[in-house]
Amino acid sequence: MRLFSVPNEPHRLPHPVPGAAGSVTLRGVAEPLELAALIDCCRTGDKQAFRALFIQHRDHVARVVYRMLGPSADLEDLIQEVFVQVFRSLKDFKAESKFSTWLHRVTVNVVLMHRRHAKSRPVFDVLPLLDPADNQRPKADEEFARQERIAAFYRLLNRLSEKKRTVFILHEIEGLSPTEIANTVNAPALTVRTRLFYARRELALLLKEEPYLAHLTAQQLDPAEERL
Amino acid sequence: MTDSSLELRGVRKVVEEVKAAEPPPIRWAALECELFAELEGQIPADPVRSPKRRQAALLWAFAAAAIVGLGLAGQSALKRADNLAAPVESSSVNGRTWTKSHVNSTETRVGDHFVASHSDITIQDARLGTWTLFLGGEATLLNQAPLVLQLAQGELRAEITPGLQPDSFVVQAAQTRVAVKGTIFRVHRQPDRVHVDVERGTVSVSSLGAGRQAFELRAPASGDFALDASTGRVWEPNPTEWVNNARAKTAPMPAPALATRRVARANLARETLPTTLSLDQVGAGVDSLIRIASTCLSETVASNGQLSLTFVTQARLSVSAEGELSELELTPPLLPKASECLRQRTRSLNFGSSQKGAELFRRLEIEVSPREPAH
Repeated sequence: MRLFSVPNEPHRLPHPVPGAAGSVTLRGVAEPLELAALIDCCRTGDKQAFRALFIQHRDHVARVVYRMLGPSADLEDLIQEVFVQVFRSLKDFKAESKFSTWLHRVTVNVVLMHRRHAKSRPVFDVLPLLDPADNQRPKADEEFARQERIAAFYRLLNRLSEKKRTVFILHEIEGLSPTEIANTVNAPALTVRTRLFYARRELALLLKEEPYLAHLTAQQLDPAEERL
Repeated sequence: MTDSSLELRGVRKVVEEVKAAEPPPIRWAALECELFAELEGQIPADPVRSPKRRQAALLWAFAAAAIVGLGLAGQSALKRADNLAAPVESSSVNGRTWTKSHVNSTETRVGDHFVASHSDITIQDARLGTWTLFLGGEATLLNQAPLVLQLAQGELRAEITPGLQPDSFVVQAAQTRVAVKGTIFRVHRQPDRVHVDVERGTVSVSSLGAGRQAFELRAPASGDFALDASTGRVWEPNPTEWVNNARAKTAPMPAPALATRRVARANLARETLPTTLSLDQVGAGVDSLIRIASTCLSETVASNGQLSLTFVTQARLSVSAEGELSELELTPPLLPKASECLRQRTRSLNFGSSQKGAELFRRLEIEVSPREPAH
């Protein structure tokens, strides 16, 4: 069953661009025809259209929230909050950038806002109780070990200042350029580069202190890694 | 190769793993459902009324005015108390659904449905006070004066202005009717029972069916009632009253219904815990607390040697910066002797550095078994 169908009436599509088959321009940036129509319908409060938009973009939003936040019980709440914000702010979407860029920025801001609020509340932080070296449990499988490493890495990231943490995640994990990050965090690109430099340096120093990651700094690297 | 380049290489390796990691499975169906429920709540439905509907509304208004006129003209035989006590049928309502966190009672109307799917819902009424439906709860407004709520599931807390008419605020949960007399109280509908906590004032709990026999709960008190309130148990802080209540008011309830969290009595002279508690060990700490409280109560309560009592209370635990239990508040409280005993013996409890400055709220069910005869 189709949840949403693209309207056939051409007058509903804003500013069609002659010659640009399969795309439509919302002011400055060309979007695929279906997406532009979907956004247009969502702006009028069409819930079905918003449902379709949600289904199209939810996986991407989930991935960004997860990368920004790390393993957390708040993941689903934040995904929901992102889409609530999108629904509220879609009417203000000026199409000066691509929708995916705008959505990414909204997602990042929701996570940052959440972290800011969370700082003022006492939290029950789950800390590692045992040194893995002393761990008497049976040897964990690779997936478990990988999850532990990821959780440990986010613990390290949480020890950085919020600004450095944000810049590091957006650049190293999300793959954004310093200029794009500068637009997102409202800071000069040079400042972003400086924060990135210090974030890397601090992380490298902290790595030794984290039991699950300390072995990564050991000398024995396999030959394949040596070639990198 | 320098140390720092090795460390940077280590960072890069983890970053690659993080980039490759997929988020954990997400309950998309539930999330979608909650999201759209919230969006509906943000934009209250305000349908444009067609002329036909407007006409119908006008007719209803005339009918309502006529009924009020008749009532004023000479229907003194209608007893107010009877009206107040009459249960309202939930099948006669069909209203809007509220999911937003703050609602003014002037916006609501009979038949409105409250679904706390995303956050608690607090409804403020200038005359009555405030009531809060906790996350996960569902309630329907059955009547406005007196205010009658049908609690379909979850927990509800009401803070009602003292000095109002009796029964001015009524909560129906299954076939149980909880009526207020100016008070602060909670009603928690559970699958097999209805739990009521009275923080201030008095409430009466009765069955919606015929032959209403009411349980009176005077604060601080708690009670567990069968879904039709035909049987129940009431706990009040004075142990003598517990026994009396247990004798006078307790009808037998199936054992599994009440035994949600019972901890075997242990010979505990002093409770010790690991020095560091993680989140999953907090439960162990609370269990220890229950065991200590149970020991203290059985040492201080003059048991008649026959009855097994259960004391239900709400605990607020504050943990100091050193991880020690700095504050323990029980509502309703224990007897002074038992409280002192608990205070002494919980000194050694340590919630570890991971719980620094934390505050915990837990509902405790403390079982006091009869003393074993001395040999």
